[in-house]
Amino acid sequence: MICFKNTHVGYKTSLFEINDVCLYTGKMYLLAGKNGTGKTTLLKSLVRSVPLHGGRIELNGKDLHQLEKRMLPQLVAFVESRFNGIPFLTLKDYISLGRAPHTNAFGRLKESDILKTMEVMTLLNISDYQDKFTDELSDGIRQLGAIARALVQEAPILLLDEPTAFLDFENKDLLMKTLKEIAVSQNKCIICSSHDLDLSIELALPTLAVSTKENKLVLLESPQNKQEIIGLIC
Amino acid sequence: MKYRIHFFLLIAAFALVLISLLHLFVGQIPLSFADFFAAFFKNSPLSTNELLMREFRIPRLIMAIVGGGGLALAGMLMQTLFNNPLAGPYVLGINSGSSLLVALSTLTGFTFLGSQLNIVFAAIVGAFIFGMIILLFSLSVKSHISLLLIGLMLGSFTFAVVSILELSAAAEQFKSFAVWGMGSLQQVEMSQVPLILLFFFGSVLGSLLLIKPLNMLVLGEDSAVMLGLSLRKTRILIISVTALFTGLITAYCGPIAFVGLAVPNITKLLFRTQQHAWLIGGNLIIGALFLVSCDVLIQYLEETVHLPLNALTSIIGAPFVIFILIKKVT
Repeated sequence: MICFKNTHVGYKTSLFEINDVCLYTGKMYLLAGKNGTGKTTLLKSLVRSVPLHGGRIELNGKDLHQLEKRMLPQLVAFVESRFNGIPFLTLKDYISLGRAPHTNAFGRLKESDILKTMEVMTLLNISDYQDKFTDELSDGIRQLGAIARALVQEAPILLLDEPTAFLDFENKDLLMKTLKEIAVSQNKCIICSSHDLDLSIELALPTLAVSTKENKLVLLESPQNKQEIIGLIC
Repeated sequence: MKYRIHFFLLIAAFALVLISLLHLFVGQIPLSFADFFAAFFKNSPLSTNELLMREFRIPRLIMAIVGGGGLALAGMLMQTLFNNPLAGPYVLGINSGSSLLVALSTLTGFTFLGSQLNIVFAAIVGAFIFGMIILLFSLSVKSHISLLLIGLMLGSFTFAVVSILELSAAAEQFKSFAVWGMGSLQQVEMSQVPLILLFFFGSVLGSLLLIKPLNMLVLGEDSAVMLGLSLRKTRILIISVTALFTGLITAYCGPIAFVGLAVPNITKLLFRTQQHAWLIGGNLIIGALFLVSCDVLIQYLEETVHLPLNALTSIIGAPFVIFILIKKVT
């Protein structure tokens, strides 16, 4: 459970404010807002890449910024908006690195680590590409790989920064449906930023809208139509 | 994929054994296997040939293996840390740090430890200081090429300071420093070998402890931190191990160019992996193979032309850098 307590998101200046909003596991949230409103900044605040301008974020009742830094990867996983691939790094090796918070000092993969990796690759249907180098994959497969790496991390909170930006229509739909299923079946709290507002209606996703007028983040538990969200963020 | 790595590791290891044997027996005075065993197992008195084997050939071979393997590993550490295939202890000016402090202590006669250890420590401390300088610059300079230019400037700066020191030094000190600067594997005696091996294996052990952080750094610093990597600790550890390798080798052999740049690239091209457990093994063996081969060539040509080690590695290494630059724009 993530709770925002008078949180001011922003690095140098406060971009927007979140008053008493709580997000729960078992659910997938869509994060909507215009370009440059601070969606990525909010996600990065949740992994402590960016400090808060004010207020607090609580994870299961504990202040996020009081947590030990090495505990964080076991609680929150983050998928960046674009992964360009790395020469000579196979997809399997790349995804296995997501197990780093669970492996020993030498990063040695146990049988359970390998099983988890294979399970997630099967779930996302990318097992066929496991021995390919990540810089030689298509954008879509690479993006699924990045998500797989975050999933094997087994953190209860999963943050995705515009994961559908480089996917075609079909893959986009499939990915979002799969993510929603994962949120329910693996009891995760998934926050996914996107400009694709149709998805939130189609999949009935609770939506976090960054209101530019009030500089506030508003939670719409069940938005009725696209206009309702657009009205808030514009 | 694993088979490919096993195959190349085995071939390289086999080639290293062969070329090492060649190295032991290729010199101007022919020596036999009997001399080799006597050098290890016979107490005193040793014949001239046995003495030659023990005091010159074996230490020289060990130095070639330590130098090649160590510089290749140091180069791999720099390349992964800076995520830059053109990085290496020589091009980034880390050798220069060693040269500067060695020059300061030999040319000015300033000592803070016994004379033997003094040079080694001066070289390691110098390498560490220049490594930290490069690290600091890397935090604000994002371009791969710019970082190399800073390394180049560190080298020029050191060259200038050393020239001034040389002019004001006594003739004998000047000569010994000039010879050192050309790079050579021949100045090591058997009595120094245990200390060298101690430092070398210590540094190799240090690299093994870095396997997981290095694998994580391949993802980029931001992603590595989000997976729980302690960036500050890792950076300082990598610079320390690099300084140990570079300082140790520079102290005994003088500056040796490009091994640390070329070998890690060759290893990665052959192994086609980013798993550093394999890359560490590969760099050790292929680096050693490279430098022992260079030294065999030097000994073979000795009668016709005198090739300084640093000149030979530069002749091979400089075109290699241009090749990488053309092949992939970084």
